[in-house]
Amino acid sequence: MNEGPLHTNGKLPDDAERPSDEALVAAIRSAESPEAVRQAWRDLLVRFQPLMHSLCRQMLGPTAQIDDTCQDALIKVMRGLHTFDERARVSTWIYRVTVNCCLTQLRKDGRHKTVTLDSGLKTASGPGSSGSRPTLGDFLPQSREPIPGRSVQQEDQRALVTEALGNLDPDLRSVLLLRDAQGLDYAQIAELLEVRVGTVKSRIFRARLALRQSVESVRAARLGPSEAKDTKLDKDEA
Amino acid sequence: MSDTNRDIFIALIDAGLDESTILSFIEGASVDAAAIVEALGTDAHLADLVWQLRADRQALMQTATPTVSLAQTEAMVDAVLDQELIEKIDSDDLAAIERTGRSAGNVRKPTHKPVKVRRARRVPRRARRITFGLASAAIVVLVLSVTLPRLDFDFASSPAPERTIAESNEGQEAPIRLAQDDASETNPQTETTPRSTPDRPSILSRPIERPIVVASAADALELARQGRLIVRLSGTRVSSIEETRRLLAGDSDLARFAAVNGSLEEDAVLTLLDALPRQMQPVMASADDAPTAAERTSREQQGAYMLRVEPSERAFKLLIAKLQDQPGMTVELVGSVEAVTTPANAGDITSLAGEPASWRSRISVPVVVEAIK
Repeated sequence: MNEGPLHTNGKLPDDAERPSDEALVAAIRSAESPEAVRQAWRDLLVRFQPLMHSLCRQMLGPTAQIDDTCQDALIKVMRGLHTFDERARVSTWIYRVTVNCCLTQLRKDGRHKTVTLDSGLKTASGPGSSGSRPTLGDFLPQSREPIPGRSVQQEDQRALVTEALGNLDPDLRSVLLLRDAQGLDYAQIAELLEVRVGTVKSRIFRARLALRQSVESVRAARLGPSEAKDTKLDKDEA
Repeated sequence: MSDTNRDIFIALIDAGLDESTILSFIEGASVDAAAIVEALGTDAHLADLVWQLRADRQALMQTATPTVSLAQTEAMVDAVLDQELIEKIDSDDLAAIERTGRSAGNVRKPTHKPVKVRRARRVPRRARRITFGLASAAIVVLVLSVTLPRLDFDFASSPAPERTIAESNEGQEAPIRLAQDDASETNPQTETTPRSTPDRPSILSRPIERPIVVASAADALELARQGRLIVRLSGTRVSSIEETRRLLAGDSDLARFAAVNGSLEEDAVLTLLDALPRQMQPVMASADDAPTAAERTSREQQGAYMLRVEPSERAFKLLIAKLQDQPGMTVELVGSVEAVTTPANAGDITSLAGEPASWRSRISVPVVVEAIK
């Protein structure tokens, strides 16, 4: 899916003029004629589909299942609206449905549990693969390249992070994406995950560390074993 | 918590920072950045790590670039709406189908809770079927237990042969339209079908030389039971034909009406094509823009599929209505001269999926898709 003008990720410029998400849900529930029901559903789904698709893409990585999973999520939203009790925000509930669909898809694919919440550096090519206990330094770039965001191409860093994200445990991946990519606040994520805000913060912080760890693993894998070893030695000497 | 993570937390505490503060700093929230930088200055590795975490977040934020266009969004949403807002065609809809002869959009009912409705209906229907089946079996056993002991099995002295359904209904107007000129000819020796009713002459009571076209689900069902039904779908628009082929290729909502067995092999297709009439006019135009006779020059086979349908009028009505909903396509229910599929015994259980209670007999219905050039 890559044609035509893109959405602004669900955030339309005339936010003030458009009905709230809750108003759209109310319209669905109060619609009587088939045409009104369809139109109300259409308004809601067209608003959220780009967000859902984006989240599916980030959660699933480069896979052909993105569209299918997004479609599944849309269907689940439609089928599950009667269970939505409006204690949470509509968007939060839709995010929850989407995340669950993605997690289900990942489970089906068997692509999960690589870098977990409490994992050390487990990947074979990672910085901790030497067998010794990992140190704080293992989280840092092993090459002597300048720190990304300052002078390294941002595109490279984005590609690196995207790849590293794919190695993350899906639960960690989802919490990080909801916060950083989807821009949800802590309260929303807490609502979505049905945990306390403090727990969310703790989980996100650990997810950041896990991602960092994964980024370094990917970077090391890209450099190759000998180059990674050299840079590791350089760093130890320094 | 891993040792590594614990080290980081210890380093944070040593630097006089907590998780929440450092998280805010990483996310660029309004915190006392100078104080944090100063605190991080005591641990170069920790400082580097925090900067890296900030960079990771920046990169993650950039991955949120949307990748779908409005047109793509609308297409996906419309597909989902089409699928979910078509409530099951139930008995009310059947009445509408019978009135109008087709299941147009206005006989469909949108629902707020499609699945709930669907599931709620499935179970009772199945339960009703089971109850009905058990009750019928009990009645049959009861009747047999009363009548069998009184029967005289002396075949030699059996009375004159029973009249065929056709004979018994002689003079009545046949419910089917026969396409052949000699359709009115009847053969008193023809057999009757298991489900022939007294007020309806069986199709089999009239041996035919050319294919016929029927218009009712009941007749289609009867033909299917005899292995003689071929559903012919024809159209001129490539898009309509493609859509129809997708429908018949499986993984579509057609599965609600019939099990889709998929494409037929070449030999079977040739048999079907031989059995189809060459220049027959359709009797059941499904859409206003269906091709007219004047436009036709030739037919080109685009695919042949086998459906497995529950042998009931209702199932056939639903199937026909569904096929008629295909825009730009014309539906013909053709009765071939000879059987093209194995005639079904009504008692056959050919679908053994699920629990025994859900086993249902099915009969084969071949469908041929043709492009009219």
